[in-house]
Amino acid sequence: MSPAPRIAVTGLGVLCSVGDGVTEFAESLRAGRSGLSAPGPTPASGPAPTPGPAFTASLRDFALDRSLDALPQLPAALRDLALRTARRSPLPVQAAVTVALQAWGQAGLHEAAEARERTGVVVAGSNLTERYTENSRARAAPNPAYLPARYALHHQDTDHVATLSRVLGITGEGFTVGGASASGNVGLVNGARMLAVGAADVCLVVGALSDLSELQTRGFLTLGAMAVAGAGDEDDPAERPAAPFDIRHRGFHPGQGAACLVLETEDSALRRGAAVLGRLAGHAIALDGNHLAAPSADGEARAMRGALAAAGLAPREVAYVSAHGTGSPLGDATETAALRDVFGAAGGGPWVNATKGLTGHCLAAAGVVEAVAVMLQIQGGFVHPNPGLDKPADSGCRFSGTAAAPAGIAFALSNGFGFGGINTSVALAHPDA
Amino acid sequence: MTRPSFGPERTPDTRGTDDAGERVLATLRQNTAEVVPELDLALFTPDRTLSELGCNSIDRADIVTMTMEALGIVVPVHEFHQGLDIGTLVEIMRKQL
Repeated sequence: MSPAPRIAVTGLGVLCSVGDGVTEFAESLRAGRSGLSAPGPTPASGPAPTPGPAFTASLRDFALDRSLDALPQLPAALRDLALRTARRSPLPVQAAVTVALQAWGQAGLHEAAEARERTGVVVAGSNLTERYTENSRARAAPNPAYLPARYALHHQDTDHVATLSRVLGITGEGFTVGGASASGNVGLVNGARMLAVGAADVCLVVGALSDLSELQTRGFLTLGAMAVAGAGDEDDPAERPAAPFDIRHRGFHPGQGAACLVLETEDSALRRGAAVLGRLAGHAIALDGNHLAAPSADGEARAMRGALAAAGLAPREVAYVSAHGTGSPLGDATETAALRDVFGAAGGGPWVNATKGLTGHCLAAAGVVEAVAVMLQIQGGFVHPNPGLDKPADSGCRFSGTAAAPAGIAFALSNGFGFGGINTSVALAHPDA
Repeated sequence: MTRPSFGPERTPDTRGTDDAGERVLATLRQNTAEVVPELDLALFTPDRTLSELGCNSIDRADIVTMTMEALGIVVPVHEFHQGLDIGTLVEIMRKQL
């Protein structure tokens, strides 16, 4: 059996509250710009007003045509096809098309004559259409006959896969994968495996935008996972949202975001002369045997060690860890315990930051958004700041401070942990490492 | 001198020309433009099908549903089938007004 191919990253795309495209996103990372803001009071829907999320990081004025027009290398015919196909699609699908076209262009695939049957697509995320369903239910309430016919297509998560295959002409493998908040990393793992078994030469991994319904939002608030309004800081405009790992943390802040990595075998990238931006060097998924929202340091450490072993790395070779870090007090404490377990309690361990402090928690997309952030930090030679991390609840990690720090990163880990004990970690590498 | 004949004379298609029919036709046309803005609406005539204009199956179903909603009518789905021209669509919906 031939050795597993090395997996290159040849394209990146991102759309979130602090960036439409990698250039703007990289600037936001370096500046530590946060997209979080207090959404204000939600309309009362019962006998007493029910507080909503404390902070959210929503897309700013997204419009598919504007985002596509911002891609100078996008051929007009491809732009027209994307608009014709996705103009009436729900927001998550439009966001997926946007980030996929960004990454597709950066990888030079719009100019490539590669066989499209050797290209695959993995969409990370489940239950992506709850808001669309909620809105459609309201529309169909007066008369079910008025439910738009396209609901039958759009309510399925796989509409993402189908739309991307139509727009990009992808005819290899395609599917969705889920892993709760670890979905993005589960997508990267499955994309890498598609290449490793020789089923494709190129695979787009798209982290799908989580456009939460009222009901989904309420569920996270009721569980205490999402930071609720009215507990302090958002009432004072001078206050900033608590960062993950800060003593003021009290739950995650939801963010809207989507992202894409083009994974490609190194042979394929070489053959096409595509620039290699970095590598996906290793990965691991480890379950806890637990169905609750109860994180386990043991499971998280097993995922990190698994990714290191797959990449052939010792912990001391890791310069930087992009933490899962949601801002949940229990989740943050569990992750810092796992980090100490893997990297030791002494100082001089890897840099640690939490991109969710800038983007909010992009849920299904988080792993892919954060993999893009890691690649940009590897490229730019820095680690982004942790704004709002004034007093770490646990001082046992080398958290980045209030300004970006220069850092030569050969290898980084990016963690993603999901409800139900789904622990994942991916190792990303500098192209020369 | 007689004009050369290029085929059977085409009878002017007058379907949709009464007030109710005009309303259905206008609504159908408006929704077609909304669903597929890149279509050439000069081609939107009763003798053509939505497919001939470039609408795919989901576009066509959406256009019909939106038109029913706008007019406040319900036509059983089985009355619509592939290949109906715009004039026939108007007739089917006009009966429900």
